[in-house]
Amino acid sequence: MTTATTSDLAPAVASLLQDDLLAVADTKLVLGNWYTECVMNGRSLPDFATLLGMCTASFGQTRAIYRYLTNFGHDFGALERGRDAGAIRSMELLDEAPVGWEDFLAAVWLGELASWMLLSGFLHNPDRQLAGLAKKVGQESYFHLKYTDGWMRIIGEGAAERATFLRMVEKRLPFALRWFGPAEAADPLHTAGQRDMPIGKIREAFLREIGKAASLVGAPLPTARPASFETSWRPDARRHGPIPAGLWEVVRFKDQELAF
Amino acid sequence: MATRLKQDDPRELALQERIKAGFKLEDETEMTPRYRDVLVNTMHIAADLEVMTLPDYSPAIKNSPNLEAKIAVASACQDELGHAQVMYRLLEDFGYDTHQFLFEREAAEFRTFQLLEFPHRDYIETVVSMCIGDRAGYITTTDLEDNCSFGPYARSLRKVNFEETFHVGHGERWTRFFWNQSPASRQRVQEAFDFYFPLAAAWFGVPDSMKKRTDQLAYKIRGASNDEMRQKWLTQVVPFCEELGIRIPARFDEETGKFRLDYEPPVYLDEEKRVWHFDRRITWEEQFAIWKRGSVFKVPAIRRLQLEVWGKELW
Amino acid sequence: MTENEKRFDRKRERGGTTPRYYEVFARKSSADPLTHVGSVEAPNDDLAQVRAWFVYDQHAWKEMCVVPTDAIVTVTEHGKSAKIKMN
Repeated sequence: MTTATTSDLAPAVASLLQDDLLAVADTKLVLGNWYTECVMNGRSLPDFATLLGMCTASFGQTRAIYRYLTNFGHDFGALERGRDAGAIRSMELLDEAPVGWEDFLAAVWLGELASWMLLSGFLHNPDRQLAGLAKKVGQESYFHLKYTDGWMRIIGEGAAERATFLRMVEKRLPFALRWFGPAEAADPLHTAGQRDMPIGKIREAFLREIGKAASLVGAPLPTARPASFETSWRPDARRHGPIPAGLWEVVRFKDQELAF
Repeated sequence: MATRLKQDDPRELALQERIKAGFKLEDETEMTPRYRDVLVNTMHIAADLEVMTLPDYSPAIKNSPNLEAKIAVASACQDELGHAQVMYRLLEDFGYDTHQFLFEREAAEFRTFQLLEFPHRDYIETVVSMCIGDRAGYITTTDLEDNCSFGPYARSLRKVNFEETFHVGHGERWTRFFWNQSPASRQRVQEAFDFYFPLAAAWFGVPDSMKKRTDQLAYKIRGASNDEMRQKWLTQVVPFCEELGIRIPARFDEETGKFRLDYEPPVYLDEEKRVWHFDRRITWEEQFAIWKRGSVFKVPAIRRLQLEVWGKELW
Repeated sequence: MTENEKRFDRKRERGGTTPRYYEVFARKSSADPLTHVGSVEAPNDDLAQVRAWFVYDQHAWKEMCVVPTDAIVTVTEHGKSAKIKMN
């Protein structure tokens, strides 16, 4: 059996595929930094190790996707350290720092779920390397989402915490939804056989998953309004504008002369 | 509460004899009060030290130069906090409440060592700490795994030691790398050794000649004395440094056939400037007071684990 | 400034007034026995699974499961305080 590789792709398709993968990779980079920044807010001893494990896995996923992108001629070091705040393509959902534990969980849950859903569209990609990469991330995401599931159960048992959590989901969800882009009928990556299903379907599946959390939280989840897009929308980055300066200061690699 | 038995109480001596003959304890009901005290005390310190790695090592995740380094620090930190979980879990069988102990205890009451009381500012400090500090930790925990007469503790350390070998190996590999990377990075490695070497050498505690209580050895909680473990550590660290050319205040003494420090502890540390004054000896009383007080970073570092920090304070 | 003492609801976050434990079992390969590898505290099955996965990740386990400690009935350890011990 022959496997398709990146070199078989039409340039326009290859470019869209790279855009999506970079959006996931950069989102994982920012998620990893979220875990780094928030681990000490952890609420039990085993959660410290768990949050650090999720931090390690997120950075590992970023590394794996950057490595995969070298198949398209990207330089790993340039992807990793050669880009400024304007070139980072992380989910807008993660721009604003969490204001409390419930907000942290809401953001991480939506960020983990949305990024996994997008990547799950490549589980049957003709390039077996990409399909394998998606599968690996899926195996890790399973545990990350189980973590937020477990915490949603705890939150669901407290009236005040539940109300806060639902409010935070309501605040963050539009950003997660927007990440999937404007609802267009055609998805060129699906048409080209690169994505298993049109991105519109993936967005619907994402919303269904959100709805399922009602059984954990013990209350219906907020319903999302249609996402709005401004002229500064960058379809290639799945976001508006650059990431905020404060977040960039956290995310950017320090001490770069030591890089190897 | 059982009446405290003196060390020379016949029941204590009987337990010591059985342990000497190879008896392993599996349960609290088999312990004498004194054995229990020594064991719990040992596990308590070990557990506190593991927790301290979170505020100590994790700042380096943020300051790492690339993904590879971030992953290495985060993963090592994850291991250490897993070890803390394993050790506190054992302590819970002796009536400890981990949650209360971690989140409600006065930060000053945590029993940490000075080596872990200076949060790492960058990746070089982390790899040098792994190379010599984690190695010191590894020498104490492998001694416990090999010798501890309390079976559950010895067994639980298998995982701990298995993971620690990776930290020590990582520290050694990247210390070597940065030593050779550039003159600037070499200078930083040297500075990290200048500061951390005496801290790591002090990990093993006071010289044997000063130690009056040897309960840990009498009850075979551990197998080697402070000096024996320090010697083992020097046996690994000195040749490594000599091979690379890293300057450390220790050497092999032809006369005694042993490795030795070039200075006689305790000596004065200027914590603020992070400079050791090897010619300025302090008394042991002063040293104990410094250890008890902890570095200027100790209390805030532990307090951070007990506090929530959100919003604009994050970014 | 958002910096506060962590406040806990022990009942919700720890699954009761006293901690709730799960014992962790795992095997490395199909030839290896399922072995007790440790213990975690968790208020629900989801958190027990994920905490076990990240705390006891020293091997790429082929199989891992958790059992509520309460569910374990000891056979040989009658009358002793420790229900189950490391490894």
